[in-house]
This record gives sequence, structure tokens and C-alpha cells, in this order.
Amino acid sequence: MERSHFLAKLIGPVCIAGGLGMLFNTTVYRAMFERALHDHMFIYLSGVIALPIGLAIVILHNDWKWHWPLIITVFGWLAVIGGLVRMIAPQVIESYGLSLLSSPNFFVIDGGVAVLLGVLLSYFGYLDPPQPAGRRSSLRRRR
Amino acid sequence: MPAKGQDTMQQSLTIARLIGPVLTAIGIGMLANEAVYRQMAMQFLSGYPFIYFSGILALVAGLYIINVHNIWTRDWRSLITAIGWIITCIGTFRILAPQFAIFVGGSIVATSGFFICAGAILLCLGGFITFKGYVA
Repeated sequence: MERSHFLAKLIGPVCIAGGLGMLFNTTVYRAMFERALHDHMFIYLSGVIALPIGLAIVILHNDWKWHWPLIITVFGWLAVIGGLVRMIAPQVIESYGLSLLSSPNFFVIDGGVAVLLGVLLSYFGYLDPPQPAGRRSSLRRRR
Repeated sequence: MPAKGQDTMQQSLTIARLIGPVLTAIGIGMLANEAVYRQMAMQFLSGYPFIYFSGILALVAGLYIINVHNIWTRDWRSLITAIGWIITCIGTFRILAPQFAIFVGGSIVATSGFFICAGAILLCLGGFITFKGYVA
């Protein structure tokens, strides 16, 4: 199985679930984020998990071609950078996150983007499976 | 090059070697350390962030299992697939509605014999999967 498709199968549904939660469960999500942002230990722990996941993605999938797998590469690098900042300076995440939360439309915009990205990745991961190598080369020859 | 059947069996064994000991350890912990586990569960259920966070981890782990191992044969390997689906459903539920996870979890934890029953089930399940993964 091609790596991009496999990673899209994992990341896509997580983005959809998180985005739907942000869109339809805004009150609970706001309370949850406010509480999490005041807890430096929690921010640090999320960084400890985000950093190895991001590193795994960018080591296995550092594809910068202008094609849909670019979303996964960017996602991986954002996880690496986000994980590093969370571990090195949790207070930066606290102040930045609280300023984002003060915007009334944050959850609508962020949830909408997450759902869109998730649907896109799930589509490519589950509904557009990689072509076998033989078939791909025969298609290319036909073109 | 190994045949496809051998390949899927190898995947089943790898996942069993990871899941089995984890389930066994949780089961033993629940049985031997019930009071601490109850307190820990109460603390876990007292706020949304940990529920949400555990939901993300559970969803990723569940999706990984069902994507690399969606095997429904009439043997122990179906157990791993079923565990993958259960973890996926739990993860989705925790992300979409953490408040319902608190509601459901709170009523389950309040049941007096929950940790003994769950511990015994997890110990049996984990022991069986560990046996299949490492010994059989």
C-alpha cells in the first residue's frame, strides 16, 4: 500500500471527527480547550506525542510535489513544529491558544477547515486507492 | 517472497504481541489495584481534555489496526479486528461528544463490581492474545 494513501486513511477520519466536534459541540469544546490550555503538563504531554508522530510522518513521507500528498507532508511538519514548541515553551501555546479562543468564529472556521481536509484525505485514502504499478505504466504508455 | 497468507499472519502476530501484554497489564492493574483505578477513572472523567486526547489516540490506533488488519476469519485473528473496530468507535465517540463519554463512563465506574469484571475480562483476553502472539 502506498504510504500517502495509508497515512490519509489514518489522518482523514481523525480530522473529520475533530472538525465535526468543533462545529456541533462548540460549548463543550471551548470549555475543554480553555481547561487544557491552562494545564502546562497537558500541553507538554500533547507535545511529547505530537513530536514522534510528526517525525514519523516527515521521515516516511517528505513529498513536496504539487499533489494531494503535500497535505500530509505539511501536516507532518506542523506536528513536528507544534510538538517542539509545546515541549520547549508550553506558555507560548497557552497565550497563543487563548488569544485564538477569544475569537468568536474560531471553532466554525477551524472546524470547517478540519472537516474539509478530512473529507479530502479520506476520499483519497479510501475511495481513490493507489493503482498497481503495472496498470499505472500501461496507462502512461497509452497517453 | 512470503505468500499473502503468511504476510497477514505475520501482521496478526505483530499486533497480538503489542496488544496482548497491554490488555493483560491493564487487567491485572484493575484486579490488584481497584481503589487506585477507581480514583484514576474518576479523575480522568472529571474534565474534557484527557477524554478528547485519549479519543484522538484511540481513533488513530483503531484506524491503524483496521487498515492493516481487517481480517474476519474463523479463528483468534478476528478478535484483533474486533478490538480495532471497538477502539475506533470509542475514539470517535470521545472526540465527537466528550460530555457523553463522561456521562456513560461515570455511570459505569459507579457500578461496584465494574473493575473486577472488566479486569477479569481484560486479563483473559490479553492472556489469550499474548499466548497466541508469543507462544502458539
